[in-house]
Amino acid sequence: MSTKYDNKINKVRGLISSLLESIVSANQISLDAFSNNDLNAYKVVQEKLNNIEIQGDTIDNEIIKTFALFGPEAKELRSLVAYLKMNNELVRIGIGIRKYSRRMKDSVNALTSFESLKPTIAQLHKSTVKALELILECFKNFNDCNIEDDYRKIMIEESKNDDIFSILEKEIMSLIIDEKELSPEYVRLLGTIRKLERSCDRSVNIANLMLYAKEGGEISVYS
Amino acid sequence: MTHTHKRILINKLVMTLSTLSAMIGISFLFWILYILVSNGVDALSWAIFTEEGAPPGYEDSGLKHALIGQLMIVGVATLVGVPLGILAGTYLSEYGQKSKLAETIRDISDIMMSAPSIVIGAFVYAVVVAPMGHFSGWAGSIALTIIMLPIILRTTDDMLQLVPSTLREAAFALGAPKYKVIIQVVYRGAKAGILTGILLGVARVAGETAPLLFTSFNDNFLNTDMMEPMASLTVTMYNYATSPYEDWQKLGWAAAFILSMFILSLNILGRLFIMKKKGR
Amino acid sequence: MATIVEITEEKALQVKDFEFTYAGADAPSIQKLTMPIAKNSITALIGPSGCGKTTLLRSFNRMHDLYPGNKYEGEILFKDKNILTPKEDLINLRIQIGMIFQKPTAFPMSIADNVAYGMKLQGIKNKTELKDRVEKALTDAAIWKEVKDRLRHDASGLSGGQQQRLCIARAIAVEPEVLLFDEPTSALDPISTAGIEELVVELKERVSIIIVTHNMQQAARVSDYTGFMYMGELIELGRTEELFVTPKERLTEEYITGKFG
Repeated sequence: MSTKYDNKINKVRGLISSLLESIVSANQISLDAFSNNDLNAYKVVQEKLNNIEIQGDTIDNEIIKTFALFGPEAKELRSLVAYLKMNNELVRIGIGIRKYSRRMKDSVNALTSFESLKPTIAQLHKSTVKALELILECFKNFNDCNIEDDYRKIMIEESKNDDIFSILEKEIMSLIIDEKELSPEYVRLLGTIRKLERSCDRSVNIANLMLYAKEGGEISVYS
Repeated sequence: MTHTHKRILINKLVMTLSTLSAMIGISFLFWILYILVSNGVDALSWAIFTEEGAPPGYEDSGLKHALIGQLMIVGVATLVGVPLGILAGTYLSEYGQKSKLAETIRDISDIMMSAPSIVIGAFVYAVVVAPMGHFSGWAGSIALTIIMLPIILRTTDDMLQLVPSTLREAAFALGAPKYKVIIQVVYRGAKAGILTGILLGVARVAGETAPLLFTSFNDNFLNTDMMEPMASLTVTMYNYATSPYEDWQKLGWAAAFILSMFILSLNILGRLFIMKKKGR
Repeated sequence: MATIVEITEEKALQVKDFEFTYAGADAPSIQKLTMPIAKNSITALIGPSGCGKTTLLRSFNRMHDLYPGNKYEGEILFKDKNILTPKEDLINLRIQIGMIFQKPTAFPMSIADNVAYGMKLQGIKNKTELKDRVEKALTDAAIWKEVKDRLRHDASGLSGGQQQRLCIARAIAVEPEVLLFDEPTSALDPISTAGIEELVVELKERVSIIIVTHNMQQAARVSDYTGFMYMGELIELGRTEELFVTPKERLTEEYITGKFG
């Protein structure tokens, strides 16, 4: 016999799971769109993510109801608080990917030296996807997942991500100096790529929250 | 001496005095039992139970007439008094409850419990024996019933009230009519207590002498016709013990012994029932 | 005027301008109360001691009639009929609206006889039918496995939680439409309490349930609708999920946040 409480917690987990999955698959599609210059694929990404704000609100409200009705404690309390904050990060990641796709779609024709940057950007994108996939995998295998291991892996991706982004920054800066008339577009490109870098940062935050849920102590999102 | 010392001393003094008083009381009980047993066992024999009463000096004389008479008089009283007492107690507990009528009945019943039994005997004489023109076993039973009734009424009332009201409510909540609630649930719950009341009631009347003196009177011979005077163990014992004949006196002691053992066992049984119920 | 949420489901009971005065009391204990009870749902009644929630509960199966002098006014509609009329067949009513009490009330008889009691009252004599329905009731009350080998044993040998389940089995054996629970777990330990709560949630598939509880958290855990009563009045009735997050009345909010009661 499962109680109303069990059903509620499973519902919350299910909602976050499907939000995560949408984001991960949308991210993968946007990477493919980028690699293959497929403008339609970008559209698919936008469609997939067009109502994540509503999804996020639903999750928040379900979590609030769970607090109000069941007064959870210990691991369940930590998990719910973690989910509440994770939800926030996930929605922001989703919005970031959506904006990235829209902007990439628009700027792909504008820049000629884009081709030289493409491989590096693709690498950045891949590492962002990897970090999110690790999160998803860990979330789905809630009880068995070795979060400390995955946390290490995500940190590695994040530092890789930071390094690649620094390289890109430098390259784009030098391109701006060479092709001054295209500088607004290059600045825009940098802003667009930064969304990928932010996504990876947020993945680390999410991993910290999952670690907190599992191990407890005091919450520390931005360590 | 200090205040504390004084208190300890007073404590010890009071404790000694109360223990002493208790022991005096208990020693009387054992003394009585000892006298009864030593004199009574002496007089016991099978003949007591098989032989009827006979004039003094007779070889084969016993108490059969008294035992049978006693059983009949007490038996009839029980058969009448127990159902009446239980029904009355049921009325008080289940229907009257705290009403003025019910409380009045309870008060009257309490008063009657402390009425001298000889007065009850006199009452039955005036109301039954005199109009009938002669003593009878029936009159004796009536007197004993009147004595037994308040005891059983009160015990039944108290025991039924001990059954928690939620138990009744639960039966009503299932759609039971009131009489079924009482019979199927309340009586079952108070079973042990009511039985104890019956045992104690019977034990009380089995030892009465005074009310039988002028209702069933006595008979020195076996008589099973309740319309006639009947022998009873108690009155027989009184007659034999106060007679100048030695063999009759021996029989008196035997009667005393048998009567005491009977009442003692009824009381012990009753108390065992109460202990069993409390121990649950 | 109470704030009452609109109930979209069918109603099991409808209370209309109901007033109740205890025998010898100067003023009514319940004042002009109107409230719907949804079918196949669990409605919890909460409120501080003396607010009238138990008084209201015991009016649904007219338990108050056992004690002389109590007065009902207004209507309680069950299957479109007012059950407060003097002509109402109380025995039939109580078969359709059962009650579970605060202290487990196992009768002084065997476990099987306890469960069969209500059915026998209705005149069911067939031994096979009784046996089958006893087993079904005990299974539905999640206690069959524990007692199936001692059906002939006296019910007093069961623990508190088991006895309460026995009482539930006994009540559902007569297949009622509504079950009234009067603080059913307040005399039980936390583990038995959790078990009874799970059972109650399962039962709502078959019966409409009204549960009075002084434990707000229990109402939050278990019920679909919650009614908050105060001083004989219904202050608010809402969906539990909404009431505990955003109560509409200030009194409700104060009670829920522990400011009184």
